[in-house]
Amino acid sequence: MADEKIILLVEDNSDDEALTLRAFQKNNMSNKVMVARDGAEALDYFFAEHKDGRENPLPQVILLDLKLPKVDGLEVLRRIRADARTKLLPVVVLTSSKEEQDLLRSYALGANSYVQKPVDFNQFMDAARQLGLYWLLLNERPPAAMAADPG
Amino acid sequence: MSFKGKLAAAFGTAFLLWVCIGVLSYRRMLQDDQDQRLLTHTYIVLAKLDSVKIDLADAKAGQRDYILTGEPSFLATHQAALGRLRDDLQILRDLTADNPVQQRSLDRMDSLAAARLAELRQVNSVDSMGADSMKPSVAQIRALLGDMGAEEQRLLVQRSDAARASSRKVKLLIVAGNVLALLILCWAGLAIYREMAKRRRAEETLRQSEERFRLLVSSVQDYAILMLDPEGRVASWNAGAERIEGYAAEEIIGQHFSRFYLPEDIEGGKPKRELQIAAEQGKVEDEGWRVRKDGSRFWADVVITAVRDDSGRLRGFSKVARDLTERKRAEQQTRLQNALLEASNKELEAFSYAVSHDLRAPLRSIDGFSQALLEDCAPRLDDLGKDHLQRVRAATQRMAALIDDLLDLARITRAPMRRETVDLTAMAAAIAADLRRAQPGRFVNLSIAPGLKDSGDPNLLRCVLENLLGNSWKFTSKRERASIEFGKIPINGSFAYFVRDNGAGFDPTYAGRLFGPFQRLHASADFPGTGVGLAAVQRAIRRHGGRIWAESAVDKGATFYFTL
Repeated sequence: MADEKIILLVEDNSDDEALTLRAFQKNNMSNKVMVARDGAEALDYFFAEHKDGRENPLPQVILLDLKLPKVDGLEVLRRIRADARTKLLPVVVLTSSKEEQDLLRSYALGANSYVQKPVDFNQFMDAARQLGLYWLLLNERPPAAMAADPG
Repeated sequence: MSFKGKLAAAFGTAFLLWVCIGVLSYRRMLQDDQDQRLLTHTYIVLAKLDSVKIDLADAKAGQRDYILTGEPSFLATHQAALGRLRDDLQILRDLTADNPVQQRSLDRMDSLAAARLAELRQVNSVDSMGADSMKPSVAQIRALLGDMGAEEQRLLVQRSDAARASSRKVKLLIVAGNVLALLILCWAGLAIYREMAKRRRAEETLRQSEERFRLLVSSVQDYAILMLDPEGRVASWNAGAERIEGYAAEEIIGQHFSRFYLPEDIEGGKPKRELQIAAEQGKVEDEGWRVRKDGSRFWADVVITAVRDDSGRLRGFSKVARDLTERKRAEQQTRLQNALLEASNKELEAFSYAVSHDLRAPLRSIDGFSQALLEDCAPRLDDLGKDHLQRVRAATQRMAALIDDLLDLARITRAPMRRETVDLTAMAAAIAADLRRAQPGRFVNLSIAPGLKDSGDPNLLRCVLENLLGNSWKFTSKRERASIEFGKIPINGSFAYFVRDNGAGFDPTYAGRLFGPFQRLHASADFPGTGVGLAAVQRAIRRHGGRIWAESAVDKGATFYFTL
């Protein structure tokens, strides 16, 4: 299962979660989607201690909402970028706003992409399709060895 | 040459002249003595020459009497006359030792006298004496004596002529020298008089200027201008000081200036410290609270400057103070207002942020699930139901557009403003190109004046041009030959930019509502829009300190003017 391309969706709004999953499904994307419903859950996915010492597999791409309960999306991004194991993971900010400050801070913290969720579901579908196409098929993930390299 | 130098030169010259005159006079006096001696000398010589004549006559008479009478006493007379003759000749020789002519004459006289005496010795009878006076020796002696007398007379005349000439010259020199010295002294006196007059005038001018200055300082109302002595005691006081600080001059002069300070400042040693800084660095500037006579406080702007004399000794301090209480209050007011404004901006920002995130999410759900309904439950929906759902979706999308425009409007109001030179012509051309690209089928005659440049915020100005040109583009959509113009025209001595079109126009009765947010003068069915664009434009223009207005009539096109 090591080469399975997992998507980590960090999304607190269950409607958005359902619509996003629907969009993936409609676009025939059968990848496993892990869902974290707040920032703390997202951090747990990467950094929580498991009893058997096993770590969750690293996703192919993280779709990160910004406005999240407990720990907000920017903080999640900062922590991911601060850890040697996760710092090279592709992170796509997928959020409702395109406020200038959000854009600036996201890119400053090392987001790979920033996509505003369109209100129009047809456009949303299209966005989901393009994201899947690009990040799951076209884009090459950084090698695990490189990701672990602290340099 | 300086006045002092000139004066010294004049007095020096006069003094020198008088010294010269003195020396000359003294030398002339010595010369006079000498001349007098020479004159006496000449008279003595002349007298001696007479004596020689007499001696010779006496010798002859004695001899004659002795021969006639044989009386030995006559022989003695003769002998005595001979002796006197010898003596006189010797005296003459001594007296005329400096005159070779006379010496030579004396040499001849010696020989003639010797010859005569020899003749006399040969005479021993009265007979032989008879023709004595006819004898050549006697005549020669007389002639020689006459010559010698004449020589002395000549010398006498020559010497007195020389003495007179020299004396005349000296007199002339003394008179001329004295006159010159007097003239020089007169000039010096006149110069001193003039200089004194000049100085008196200068002093008078200075006094008047000081008086004017004193009046100026004392009459200044808006500034407290005062002098402090080196210890900080008030030495002078003007009307402004009285007005600002409340003390009359006679109350405060001599008092220490620290009483203008707050008690805590005095305790902290501020007055002393300020004087020290002024003394060390030349001046000290300060702004702070001070106390009036009645105990009330005022916000003062104070400059204390050390006053030093030419030798650098500290003579005191000048203190100029201004009452800035009103300005301070206004500043505080402004600061408060700014803080409030900033807080409300922050609030607006937080609000915008929340709207941006939270208001859109439900819309997405409504739209998304409406679509899901249309897809998943299509068989169970009739056309009417599908139409309802389509309307729900259209409404959510319109709402989303409204939210986006509202956020843009908020951003225009609060985004930090920066000014730079903006090429409006290029900006308008780029916007026009975008419009053409979006609707390539339309024929629009779009003219943009060249070379329009102005100082402003590029983002805000883009918002202005996008909205105005976009509106013109939109409202000319029903024209077959649409025409849009962007340019600059002179207005009231200044100028305004304008965007003119030949589109639908608007009823000028409602022109006042044009720039209100969400105000629309056309039905959405005719011309789509949220009614936010012109509100944003107006805010952007206002943030530049400019003005926007519009002229139009229904179906006659519209012209929007703006200044920056």
